[in-house]
Amino acid sequence: MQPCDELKNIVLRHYGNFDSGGQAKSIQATYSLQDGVVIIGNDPGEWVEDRDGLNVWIQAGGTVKAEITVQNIRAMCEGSVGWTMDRVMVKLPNGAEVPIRHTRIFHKEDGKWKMVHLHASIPVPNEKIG
Amino acid sequence: MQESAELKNLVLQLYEKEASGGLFNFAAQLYSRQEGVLVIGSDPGDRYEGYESVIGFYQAAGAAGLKIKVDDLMAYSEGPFGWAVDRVIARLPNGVEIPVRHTYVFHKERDAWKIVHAHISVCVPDESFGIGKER
Repeated sequence: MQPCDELKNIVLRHYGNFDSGGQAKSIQATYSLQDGVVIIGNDPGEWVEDRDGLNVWIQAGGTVKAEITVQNIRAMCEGSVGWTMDRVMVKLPNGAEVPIRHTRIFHKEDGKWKMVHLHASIPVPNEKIG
Repeated sequence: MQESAELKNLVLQLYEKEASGGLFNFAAQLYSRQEGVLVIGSDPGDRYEGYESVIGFYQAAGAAGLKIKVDDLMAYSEGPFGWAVDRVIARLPNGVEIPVRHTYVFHKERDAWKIVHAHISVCVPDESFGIGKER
């Protein structure tokens, strides 16, 4: 496995689309629609593994406006599988700033990288857990 | 990509060891020693890069004696790579139950699966910070 600028750039381009709300196109182009795709969001209800749920997730994500500042990002790949890991600060339209960590797993389908897994999470201090 | 019972079993073994006290030794075998290994934990400061750092994290976690109930677990592989995704309930020794989600990325090294990335998180409701977010 080696560092993978191609995947890093896919994610960075995607984030760059959010300030204009123009991310719908990159979302459509990036998500795989094959069986086995799983999306984990931060909310307790956000576990998406079926096609209908995935379509709802994609459509909802296409309408959000946010400013995303990338604090760090790494990407690795080998052959037909790759993954990216990042930490970003997301500024929402209501002014709230949320630190978010992402893991994305990509699979090459017909010569194009497609995302088969996303795990988005918000850190929670251990003291608040119990 | 195909479903992988082998990777599923490795994750289940990891959770069994978490409850029985053998977590540190099992994690020490299961994590890759190659460059680029990264674990993201649930706490804001939980970011461990490199084998020694990751194992230090498991050494501290191993003493916790968590009981893990697996709600969903899926695993896939293709060639020398695989990944597993789950959501579990972790029961702390004080009885508190926490919903936790994991992602693991595996790489096959000398015929043995090794973890090269893990992402561990707890749920945070959307209402706590606003309604919309990026995807």
